[in-house]
Amino acid sequence: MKPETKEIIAPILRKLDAAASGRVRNLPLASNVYSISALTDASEAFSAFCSAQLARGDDGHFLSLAICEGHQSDAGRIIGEFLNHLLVLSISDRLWSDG
Amino acid sequence: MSEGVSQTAPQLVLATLGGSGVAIQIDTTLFSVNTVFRACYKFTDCAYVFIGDAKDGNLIVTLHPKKTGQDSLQLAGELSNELIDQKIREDLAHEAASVREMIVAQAFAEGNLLDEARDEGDYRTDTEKIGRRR
Repeated sequence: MKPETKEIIAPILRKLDAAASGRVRNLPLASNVYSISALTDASEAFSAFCSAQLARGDDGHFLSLAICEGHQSDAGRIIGEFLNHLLVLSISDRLWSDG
Repeated sequence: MSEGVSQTAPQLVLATLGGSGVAIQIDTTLFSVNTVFRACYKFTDCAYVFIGDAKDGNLIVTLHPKKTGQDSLQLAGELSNELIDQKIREDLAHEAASVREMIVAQAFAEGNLLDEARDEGDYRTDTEKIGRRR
């Protein structure tokens, strides 16, 4: 791995590692991977468990998730399922846009 | 390392994460983003999956097993094989696209998908103007 690649992805890996324990702050989401509509739909689907905040960056978006009261003990699972749901919705978006 | 194998050969696993997760670098010149998505989808039953951008044209896929004790390195190996599977499927779909489109077009040729009135319409309204004098 190139040193510059390591420099770029190290913060992402640290954030994901923290996600396993239920904390996500400013997770970078590449615009060529996840679509905005998938992000908003996933946020809507998980609104009972967590609140999602999206911020726009220069080359993508950043996601922050805050777990709702009463679900803290399940935080790692909720964030993991949120990411999986985001993946499924992005695939769905791609299928529709490809025709 | 055996002779002829590059010393800079890419590693399968980029990093192992503290919480038993694993990160894999995927070369997008070999696998399209669609292929990566399809391969990752197969692992959503047993792992939490995140696809990130490495900024150098590659993608970083991280897998966190859902069950404790599940071998994340084995998951990484299976994902690598699945990428090849999906890549071949994509290539075959591309190669057979014209034949598939022809078969589908033939199958639906008798049906009127866009003009319901042609099949379901009433003869009294004569939507196709069949009874019109020519």
